Amino acid sequence: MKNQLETDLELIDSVRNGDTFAFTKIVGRYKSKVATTVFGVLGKTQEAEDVGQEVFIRFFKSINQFRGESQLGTYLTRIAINLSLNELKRRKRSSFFSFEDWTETKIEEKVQSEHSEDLERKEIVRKAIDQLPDKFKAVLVLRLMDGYSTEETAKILEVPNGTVLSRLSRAQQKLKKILTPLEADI
Amino acid sequence: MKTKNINEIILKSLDSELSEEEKRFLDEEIQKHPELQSERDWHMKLRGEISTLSSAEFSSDFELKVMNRIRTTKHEERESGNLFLQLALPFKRVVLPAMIVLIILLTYNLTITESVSAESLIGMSTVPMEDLFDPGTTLILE
Repeated sequence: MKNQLETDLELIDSVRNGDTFAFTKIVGRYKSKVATTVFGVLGKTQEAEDVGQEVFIRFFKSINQFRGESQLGTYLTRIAINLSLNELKRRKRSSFFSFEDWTETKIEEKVQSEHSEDLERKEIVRKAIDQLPDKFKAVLVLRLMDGYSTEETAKILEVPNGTVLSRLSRAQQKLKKILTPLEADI
Repeated sequence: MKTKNINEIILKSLDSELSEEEKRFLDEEIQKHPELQSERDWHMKLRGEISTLSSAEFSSDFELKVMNRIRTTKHEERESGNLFLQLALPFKRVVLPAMIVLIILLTYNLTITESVSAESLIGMSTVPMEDLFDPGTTLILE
């Protein structure tokens, strides 16, 4: 892990010295991690990919401010989760004046009528997660999809460990409430 | 330990170490109510499903897109910087001589009037409004 960290820092130094190819290497190394976070929060959409690109652009612009106190992956995840939550807020604002809720419902109905059970189950869980409040969703994505520990999740979100645990617990209780009636229909 | 807490303890057991008291309570409750074990299993299964949900990757040309956007951003920044320089350049050539002339003029004005005021600095005295619109002058002219 130490070598990995040193190599990251070496790449960052190269970028600081004007080597943009080194930055391509950083993108290649961390794009999966960032994808997990942004797709986890926003779903597999074009906006999510745009947010993913924005994560790396923000990092590029602020590369001189990265002091290496946290791991690069954690640093990028922090940017990714913040930009994803901002995107969710933007979506909510724009859906207030649009038919997005209506189309969401239609998708849900369509998903329920599909016969591929595994895909159907995944889509239902995905839709259930989408219904969670943003702060619960952020914890769920970081803790269960990205695989960060409770402590790491707490650091990324800048909240106490106890808050992470309680949000995760409440998120799961909400998911059970949403999913149980749907499971009965399948 | 109250029964209402059992769900919280089940969820907590998935995520962190339980205290001895909590462990004992959970074991006792599961023995008394076997459905609690299936509740725990349900949450375990859900966690497994959630962990596989976000296995998607960005498009194959993701790096290229990022680098192109970075290049575009840098180009735009450079362009906006250039525009500023283009506007500033003609002024840059005259700014130093203009400053020197201005300082000489201000110093001269202050010296000849022998008083420090805004009027003496700019070398002009303020004309009162009455002098500007003197009705007498207007009548003479007519």
